[in-house]
Amino acid sequence: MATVSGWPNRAGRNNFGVDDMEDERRTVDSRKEFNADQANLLFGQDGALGLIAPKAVFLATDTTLIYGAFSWDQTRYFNETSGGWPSYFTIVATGTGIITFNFASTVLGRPDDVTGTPQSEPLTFAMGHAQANLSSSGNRTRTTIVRNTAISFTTSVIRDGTGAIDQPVMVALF
Amino acid sequence: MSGYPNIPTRQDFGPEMENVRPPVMPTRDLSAGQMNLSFWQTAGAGRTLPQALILFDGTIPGIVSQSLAFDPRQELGNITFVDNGVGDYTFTFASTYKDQRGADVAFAPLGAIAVPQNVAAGVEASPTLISGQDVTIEVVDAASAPLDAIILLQVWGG
Repeated sequence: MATVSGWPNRAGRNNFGVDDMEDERRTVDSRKEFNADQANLLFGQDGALGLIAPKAVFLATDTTLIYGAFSWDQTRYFNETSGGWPSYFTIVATGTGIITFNFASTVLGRPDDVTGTPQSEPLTFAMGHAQANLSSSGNRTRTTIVRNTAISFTTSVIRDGTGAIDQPVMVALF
Repeated sequence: MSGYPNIPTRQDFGPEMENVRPPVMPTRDLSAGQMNLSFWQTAGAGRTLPQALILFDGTIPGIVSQSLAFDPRQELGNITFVDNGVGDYTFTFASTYKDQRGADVAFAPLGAIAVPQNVAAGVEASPTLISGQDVTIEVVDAASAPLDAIILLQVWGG
């Protein structure tokens, strides 16, 4: 049995059931039969991806979500301006080169196995990394990220020699 | 839908599965719950994982290794790499890559993170995505002087 609901929760190999599934009978036609070795490999890989993949990645300025992908929101990518981004995500222009990204404390996750209704799941991030993706070459920036809370991160971009500068920032949160 | 460079949604894996009969033996009965979790995790990870991991050494210069999500059979040659000068490199992705069925699918880099490896404190890399298929990386030391370094580059695209 699966024992967790999955994204935005992490799921390791143990959450996919027993370690070593076995065939009830020998595979006769490997093109038409799904066998235990395949299931074990699939769940092993899924369990690994579920531990290392970012929960959220996005490229954003202080006014635009240029590219946003969220593991629990699997039907769409986001490319939005002026606050058109998903309701669980907000961008706050905190100062030149400084942006704060806030998330809701709960989001809709996987449908319940029995009812089919998406379940409300708690959202937390343990860490993240960020880097300016420059709009023109030669800026030589340094980017830092601060974890304010489990659902709030602030990035800061400094340009060599001239101080803070507004640039798009690529962020991956784990 | 086929897989990379397409990124399947959960719906592309089919509807929520149901058990034909209650699973009895966990070692032999594959349950709907297991498959539904697998589909959900795969679809979610596909959205957030980078499509390219490239380790390159600016002192050789060259690509030391690369892993491309759309090349799971590892048949493709290295991404096009140009050394523009000290600490200045450009990677150019093809405009299309083949999916699992052999169809050409458009691809363009959308974002990148480049991390210097095994270098002195203060070394910083800055990615620039100013051309449709190009990712340019500039590397400087703590005194802002360009230098060649080993870099791990992650690229998200679509």
